[in-house]
Amino acid sequence: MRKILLFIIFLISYTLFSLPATDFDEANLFYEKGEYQNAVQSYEKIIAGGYENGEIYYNLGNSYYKLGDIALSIVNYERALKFLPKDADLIENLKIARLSLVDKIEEPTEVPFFTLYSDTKNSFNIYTAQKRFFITMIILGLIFSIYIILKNTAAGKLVLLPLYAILIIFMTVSYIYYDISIENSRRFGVVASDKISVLSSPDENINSKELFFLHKGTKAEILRSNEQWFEISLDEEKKGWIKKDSVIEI
Amino acid sequence: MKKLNKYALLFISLISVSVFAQKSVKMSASATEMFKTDVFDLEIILENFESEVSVQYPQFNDLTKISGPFQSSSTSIINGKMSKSITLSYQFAPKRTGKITIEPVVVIESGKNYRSNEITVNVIEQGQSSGASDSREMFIVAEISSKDIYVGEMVRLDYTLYIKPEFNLSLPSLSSEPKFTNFVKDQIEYSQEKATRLTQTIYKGQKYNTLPLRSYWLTPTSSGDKVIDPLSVIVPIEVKTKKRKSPFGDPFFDDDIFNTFKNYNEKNVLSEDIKVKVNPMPAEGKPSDFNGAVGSFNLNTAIDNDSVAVNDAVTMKIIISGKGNLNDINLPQPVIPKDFEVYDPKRTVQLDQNSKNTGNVIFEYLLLARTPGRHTINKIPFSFFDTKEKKYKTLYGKEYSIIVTGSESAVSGGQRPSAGYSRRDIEVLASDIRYIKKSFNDMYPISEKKFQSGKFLISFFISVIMIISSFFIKLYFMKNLQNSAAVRRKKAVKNANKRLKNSYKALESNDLLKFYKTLDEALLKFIADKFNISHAGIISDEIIERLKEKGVEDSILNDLKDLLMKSASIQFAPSKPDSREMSADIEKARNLMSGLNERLK
Repeated sequence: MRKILLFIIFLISYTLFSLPATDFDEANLFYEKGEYQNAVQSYEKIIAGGYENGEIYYNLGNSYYKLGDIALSIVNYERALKFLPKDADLIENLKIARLSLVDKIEEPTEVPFFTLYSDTKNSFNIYTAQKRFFITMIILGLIFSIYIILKNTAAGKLVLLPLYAILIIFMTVSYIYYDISIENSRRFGVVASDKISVLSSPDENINSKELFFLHKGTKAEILRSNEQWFEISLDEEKKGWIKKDSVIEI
Repeated sequence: MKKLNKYALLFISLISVSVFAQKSVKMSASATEMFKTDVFDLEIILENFESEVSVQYPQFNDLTKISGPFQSSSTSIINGKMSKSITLSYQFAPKRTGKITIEPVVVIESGKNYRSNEITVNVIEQGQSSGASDSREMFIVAEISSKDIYVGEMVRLDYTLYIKPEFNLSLPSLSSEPKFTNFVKDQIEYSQEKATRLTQTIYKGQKYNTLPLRSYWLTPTSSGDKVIDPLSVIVPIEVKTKKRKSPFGDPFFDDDIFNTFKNYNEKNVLSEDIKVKVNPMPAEGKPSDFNGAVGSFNLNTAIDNDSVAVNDAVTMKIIISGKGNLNDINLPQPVIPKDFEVYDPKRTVQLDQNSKNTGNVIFEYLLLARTPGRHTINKIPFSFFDTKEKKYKTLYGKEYSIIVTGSESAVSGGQRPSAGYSRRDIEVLASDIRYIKKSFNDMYPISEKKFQSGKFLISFFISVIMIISSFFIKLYFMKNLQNSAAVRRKKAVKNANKRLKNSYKALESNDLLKFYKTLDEALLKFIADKFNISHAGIISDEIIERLKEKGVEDSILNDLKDLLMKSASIQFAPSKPDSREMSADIEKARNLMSGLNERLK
């Protein structure tokens, strides 16, 4: 009875994520033929249709790179990175795309102690984290119910171990989900213009000073925004305002 | 003896080769252009011939022999080589105007024919001029081989001093040389004889002596209309001094012999500017491997061996021959399979003696075979700009297939001259982004990126409902099933009393058979409940044994045994019922049960 219920839940959750695979193959075909402009349009169409995954963003980044648009290719590689954080091809291509950048910005290095956690986290993305959070919650409830029923019997002791295990898994998954949603709520942007000046305040009047320049393809965190401006930050010291139309949000 | 003869012959022939240098016949004229009234000298030089040879002289039909032949001979030994020459000099006067060709001289020695060059002289009627006559006494003529050229195309520029024959001059000295901006110059050296010897020629209907001043090969480096500055020389001219009165008043002393000190008047002579149109190389149709070669060329390729063993070398020669800027030709790196180790090529340029723009360039590649198998070397392309057809051309060499025999083990084995010598890092030819992904695991609807509160509530309630329902399941359905053994034990007395009620009924109705049957049943079922076993097929002996193990006293066991035996025997052989005995037995059973209940807790 319970098994059937669970199976139905799985089935519903998977059929909801139906796959527009044929559009993807069609776009890949354009890329293979070297029609990168058409490939870009096809990939963008899938995303505009309300679907995304790492592979689409990766292929889109490739297409933009072949068209010579470094900024958009970096934007899409960065988007893909949220789905495929450990993908060797993606990391290599992002490195190649960044070769032509003017600004040199240090990437944060990974702390070795946390690699076990980050490896686990990297197998999650915002969608799978949420889904796994819900599923582990249901499994936890199920195993806890079984334990209640078998509490005073000899079999009750056998259920105790899986109960502890699922409890730890549930806690881990919830923390990862929390971590990933926090990470996803951070906004980043990539400079799309060849050279833009970062101002001290969100207007172009005299009281706004040019603080520094940014060049095409540079990634920066978006802290705040208003109708026309983003407040961006490169590190603790370099913060300022730039126009929205010169930045593509990742 | 025969052998000795052979060696002797060889020795003698070697000597004869070393003694006499090459035999040749040459013919030269003192002037190639002249008026009809002029006289010229013709020299026939026989080099390294024996004095007794037969000479076939040409027919001098259009010439009048004035004097000759005068014979002179000379012998010289340089570095052990003896050279001997016989010179025959004639003096001729032309009979007619126009071009007169003097046929070659043929010398026949021991059946072999040696032919000389032929000479053409141009005879012009005096006063007949091809242009306005030049009144200048001396001038420099600059001749350039082409005035409409391409960047990189070599042209020859000659400066020649023309001077009227009535002037005597000493060797001129150069005062300024053109700068040749936008050109790469390469001066042509003259031989001693050519640089000092005046040649008679006719220029615009007048007779001049000429002296070559300078010659250059020029290669333009940029396009546009270029001007080459004039060349200037200082010419010392002998001044014809008015006949000085001789100090002795004797005409004898007026002879030249006594005029040893000549007066020279220095004169500066300037050449004209030269305008050259240098065309840029057309961008259209420019092959990708074009490397700046301009001219007209041929390409030949050759390999010395098409079947070698591993670690052996193959020499590949690429020969570019023809006319053009051979010195500047460089081949692009040929595409050679990685199965060969390629060394930097040896480049040799062989130019013709008199012209620096014809000849050939040889590239020699040494290829070391490293892996066995059949390897193909593709056609080697060479692109150049053809100045005649004014377009780019690409030539291809031959395709070669080289069979390399041997085994790979020879490569890594001890045969190798030096271990690790030929192993190299994998060459990265180009870098590109990695290929696209062709498949994916999941596609996520963007609409579900935000926290799905609905799904959260559903899964939360599912687990909460499961937990709550498990309490109810435990309370109402599972309890009896799961705890039947304990329940049975607990309810054993209660059920036994229920069964004993049947025995009381039988006692009242005085039914002996039924009474003992129910009593027996109640006792057995009570014990079966206590042990949580089935009462069917229970054997009294087995029960006694089990109770003994549980530590029940023998008095109780004996009573139980007696009662069970009694009820069993009455059931098989019924006797007359005795109500007092029956009620005593039922009391006995009750006591037994309560006693067992206490001991079997």
